[in-house]
Amino acid sequence: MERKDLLGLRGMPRAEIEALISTAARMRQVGERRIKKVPTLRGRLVVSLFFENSTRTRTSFELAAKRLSADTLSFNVSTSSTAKGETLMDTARNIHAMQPDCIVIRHASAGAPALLARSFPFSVINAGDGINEHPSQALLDMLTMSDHWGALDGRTVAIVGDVQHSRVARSNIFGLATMGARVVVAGPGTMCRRELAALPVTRRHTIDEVVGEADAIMMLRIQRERLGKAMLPSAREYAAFYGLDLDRLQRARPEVLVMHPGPINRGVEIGAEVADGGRSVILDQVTNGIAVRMALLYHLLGREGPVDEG
Amino acid sequence: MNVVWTREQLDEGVKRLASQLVTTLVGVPRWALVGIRDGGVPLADELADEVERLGARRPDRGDVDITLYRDDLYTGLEKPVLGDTDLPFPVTGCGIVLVDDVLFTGRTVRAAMGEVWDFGRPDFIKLVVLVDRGHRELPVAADLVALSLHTRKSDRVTVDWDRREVRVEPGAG
Amino acid sequence: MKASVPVLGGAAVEVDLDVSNEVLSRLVAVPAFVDLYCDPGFPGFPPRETLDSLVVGAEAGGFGALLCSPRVEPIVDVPENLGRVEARGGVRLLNAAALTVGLGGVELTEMGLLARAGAVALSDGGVPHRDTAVLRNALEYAREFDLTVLLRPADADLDIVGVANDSAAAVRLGLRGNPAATEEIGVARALALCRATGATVHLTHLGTAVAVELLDRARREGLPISGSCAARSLLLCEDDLDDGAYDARYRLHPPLRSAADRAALVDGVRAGVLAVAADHQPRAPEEKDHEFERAVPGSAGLESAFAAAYTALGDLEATVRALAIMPREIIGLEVKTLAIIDPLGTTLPASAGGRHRADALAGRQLRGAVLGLSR
Repeated sequence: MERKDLLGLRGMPRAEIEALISTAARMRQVGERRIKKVPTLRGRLVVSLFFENSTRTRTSFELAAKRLSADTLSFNVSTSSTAKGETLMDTARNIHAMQPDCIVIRHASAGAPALLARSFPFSVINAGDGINEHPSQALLDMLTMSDHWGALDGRTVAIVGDVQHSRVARSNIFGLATMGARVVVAGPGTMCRRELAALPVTRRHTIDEVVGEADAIMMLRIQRERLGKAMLPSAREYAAFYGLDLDRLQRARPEVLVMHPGPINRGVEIGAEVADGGRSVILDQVTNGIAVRMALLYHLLGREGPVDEG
Repeated sequence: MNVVWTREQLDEGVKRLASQLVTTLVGVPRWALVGIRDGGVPLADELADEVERLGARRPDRGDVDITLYRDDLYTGLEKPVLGDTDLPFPVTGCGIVLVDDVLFTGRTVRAAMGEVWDFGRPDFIKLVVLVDRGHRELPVAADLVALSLHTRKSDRVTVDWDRREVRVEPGAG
Repeated sequence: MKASVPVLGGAAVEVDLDVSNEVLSRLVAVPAFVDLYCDPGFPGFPPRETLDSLVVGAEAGGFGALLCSPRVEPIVDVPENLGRVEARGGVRLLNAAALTVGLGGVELTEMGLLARAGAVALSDGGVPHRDTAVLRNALEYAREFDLTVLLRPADADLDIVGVANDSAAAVRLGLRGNPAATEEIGVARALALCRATGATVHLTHLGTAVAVELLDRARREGLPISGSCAARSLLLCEDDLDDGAYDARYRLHPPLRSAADRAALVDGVRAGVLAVAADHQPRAPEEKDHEFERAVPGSAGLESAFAAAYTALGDLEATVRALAIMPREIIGLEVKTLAIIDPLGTTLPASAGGRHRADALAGRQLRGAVLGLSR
């Protein structure tokens, strides 16, 4: 894989996705050792540059870097530089002066990682850009599915909720389509609009339509700040029409996987007994997150250096 | 291409290594054969069989994939495909016998020792190889060797377990 | 070197040019172009443009007159703020004065005094009007001073939603979408008010097929209304964003619409329904050196407008009508300057990058070239 950056799964060839998933499965073994650390990326510097708060994704990337022995540095910019009027490019120029090998960026604007990737020599990993993509999340979701199914070809994955504004949904849609799976989506009209026809998905109107046909049901997190606005009337209305409760789950296939990118809103998009139940693989997703991010760093970093064998 | 060892010689070499191993490790309560992926795995399998055939207790078996421990990851070449590392026994308190087909610079052995150490504290580590082709770059020596070869550094030495032969091919240098 | 160049549809003109005989033989003189909405950020924003660079760009693009937006610092909403420079080189600088105070869409400006002081049209600089009652009053009032009112038709609330056309491109790229309905609602409203008030209205920045259709119908009906699109929107559409580079050059407002919309604009210009503007909005590099959503929308246009329109239309006569003849009629202006055209030349907008930065057409080879103005 000759790749400098991971900006998204849109257009990523199947062979690359497969290589990342199988590498991640191997990386998972490192976490099961007495010493959960290998020297692979010793001396490399991975900087996380988060313009939006996300403790989970950031710590998952940092732990992945540490397990590969890279040095890590964390910039939480939402509170510092931009408040002082520094532009993204100026922040990046400052970090570039510290000679990082990789920047993991989360930013509110789609294309912000693409801007850095074409402007700087370091590797750029998109950890979420606006409503565009969150590729490492989709890769870990696909690893979780392939743990249960092997190949993803012919499988049906339902994505329920705010598909329109979900970078998790979008990266999954692109990745799953490449891997031969079928994606069906459902959600409120404001969050699952007709324009989604431009993506490789089948749009359904209610959660009840998708529950029965899916091999995996991915529930998206409802952003609390969208409630009570013109987007969504209330949490109880959402739970009643789009939440995955025990009742609905009983109509699903017995071997269905219940997934959620976290953090979950218990009782809103997912019932507590469903989140903690036997079909839920939500915590496997977390474990797989570290492994996938290790695989990404392994594949992207290290594009120069000594050669030897034996 | 030059076949330096044929089937009979290779069979004989493996048997000799096995009996030397049994002699060397007499009185050791617990020891394991650990193949270094990929070349060391078939040899470790055969040694385990031979040790058992000689009447000794069959040793534990494990394999290590040293990719994540390599010091040559940054080559700009295709990334090596990761293999499984599998040490299905407690490493601490165990004698580890690392097994590889060819000993060359010693870097692979160094990486393998590092990896074994991350699983526990072994009582000792010994090294068994089928072929020692010289050109060491680290202070590494094998405890048991079946065949010592004089080679040029650019030569390519191959142990072919399917045809059961050892070949030396001259390299570009 | 003095040479004689034929004028399109007329006699010849003597010009002073330093070109080979081969080039000379294919040159043609046409009425100089008139830009209907030039938003140079001058005065007030020197990193974007200075008076000198604006004039050099206009001459290079074949523009004999520029109708400058009131959206400058200070805003041209009182006679005292009208630009004092009326002509520089061969380029006339005309002023559109504000329709409402501070472009705020609330209070009417002193349109009579502004007209007496030299304003040739009224415009709120592309800011859409939220209050339709105010807009109606503004049109009623403007009618009595015989000034064309330039409106960018848009629903004010939808206008601030999104940065790319709300269809395929936005969804594929994960950019927030701005729907075509933004403009369609604005056009329908403007037509209704034009019909109700009888004011002379010019719709700027048109980009949708529905707008072209509505405008065509209204003109057949005999309403005093006209419309125009930016030259670049005859060549570019939302699909140009699809490479995933999130190139801020394409950050324009209103956003590039669909390929079908683009085709409708080309047809509309060919049929004489639409005029074409340079929509010159130069941006300094530091305004474009951002993530797509944060980049300042706009693009330079003076130096590429003719070649862009000519490349898209493939017809010199239609191009001249859209860029030179119709704009004169729209603002009731006489401009005698001629532009010297080489129809077989090429224009590379990127080469103009130093002076008029961030042309959305940079990197493209366009058909036709302007050699300059002749007075």
